[in-house]
Amino acid sequence: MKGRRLANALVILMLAGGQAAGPGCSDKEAGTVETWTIAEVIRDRAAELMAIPGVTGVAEGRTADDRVCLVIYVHTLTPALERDLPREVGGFPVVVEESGEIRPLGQG
Amino acid sequence: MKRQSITRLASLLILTLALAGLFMFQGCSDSEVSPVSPASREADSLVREFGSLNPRLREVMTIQESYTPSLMSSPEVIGTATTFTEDGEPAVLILVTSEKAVTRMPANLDGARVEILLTDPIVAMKGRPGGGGGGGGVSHTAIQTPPIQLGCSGGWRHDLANGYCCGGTLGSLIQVGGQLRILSNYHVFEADIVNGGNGRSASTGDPIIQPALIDIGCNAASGQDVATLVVSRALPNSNVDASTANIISGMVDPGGAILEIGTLSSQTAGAFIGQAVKKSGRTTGLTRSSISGLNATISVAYENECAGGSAFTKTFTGQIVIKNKASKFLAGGDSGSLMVEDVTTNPRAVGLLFAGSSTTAIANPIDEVLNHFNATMVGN
Repeated sequence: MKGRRLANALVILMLAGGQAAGPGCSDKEAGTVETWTIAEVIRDRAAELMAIPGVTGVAEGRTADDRVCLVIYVHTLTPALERDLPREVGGFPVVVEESGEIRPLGQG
Repeated sequence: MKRQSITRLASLLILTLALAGLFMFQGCSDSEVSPVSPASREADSLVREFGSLNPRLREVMTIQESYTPSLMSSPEVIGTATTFTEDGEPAVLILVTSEKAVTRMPANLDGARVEILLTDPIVAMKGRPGGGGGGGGVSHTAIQTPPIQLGCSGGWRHDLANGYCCGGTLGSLIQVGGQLRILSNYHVFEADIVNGGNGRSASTGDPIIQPALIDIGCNAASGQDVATLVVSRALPNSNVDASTANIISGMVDPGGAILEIGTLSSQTAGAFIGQAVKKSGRTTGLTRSSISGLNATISVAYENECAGGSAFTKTFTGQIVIKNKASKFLAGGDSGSLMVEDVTTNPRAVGLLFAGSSTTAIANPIDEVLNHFNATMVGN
């Protein structure tokens, strides 16, 4: 459990670090502001988010007021996940949804 | 290759039957294990989960069994079962076919609470031997007179191992070069990659049958060969859970008609959030929903044969997410279904459905699937 908490904390620190570096923007070229797309955010951050125990997926979605958001799917929304998952990633708001186990849907 | 998702009601009915069977055959030898259908497998699980640990459940089952003959003497009562109330208490469930019958049922039986479920006449189930069917009364699990329409039960002819049989949906028709092929999932057609429990693995040329073994008592002789498998091993290395089979001449509608959807457009459509979609599949028939997520990264675990061991976990990227509340859009056995835009005439394909949960369904974008096979959709 300790190892898992440490891994969680590391991932969350990495995410927080990414946000601190400039949510939604980059300063690659002085004097210009480059906005990240949600696709770029997913491409760059999906692996970190998927490494959090209990996270089953990430996707582009829409908030209730129709803003582009990052959806983080979790197997079960535990208090720990609720506390630890970021509220925004790369400048996009995060919506957390319970998915249960996602599995192939053949039957046998 | 998964088990699950007959409805809760069906599960409980099976639980009742399964427990009855268990009591009847206690002490019998298990030296010969016959292949069983998924319903039996689910019942096994339920028995393990509830039956042996809950004395009150057994009491209510006894009450249910004692009253079943008198209840069933009413033509409006089509079944009984043991269920759980919302607060988790075992109760007797009575299935009736009319509103009037609801008011005539007792509130309790020998101290056991009674729940009433108003349902369709049982004749609807007769047309759906495997439990799958469309809202329009079309069976998606019955054997069809060739040429068959797709959106129906089907699978690898030898998909039987470890005492169980498996299957899914023959989803749609595509064209590769001049050849017409049925499109379904890797995990429906060719996920048997070890000799394991059946002494064979899926190979090019193997028959694809309709319906799937799960809908014909695991007996392939009761089905019909409609296509021959073209092994492509899309997983674990590519980003699509897809497989194809060359149609056998005369066995599949060459126009690619899908049950309750009809003929498609030969064009495809990109997914967008809020898009209305529908699909036609083995278990839930024709169902509708809407796109809730795009560009999804999702990890899915696969087995190495029917009821087999772990093969690999695949992380897909760029996937389509669809609302699937209570598995009403997509359930176990629907894998392989084609997701199309929800329009009446010649809908365009949007995705290949392959995974999900009780809240969420996942589809490969159809263009990525078609590109994988260098294929086009068959349609107008």
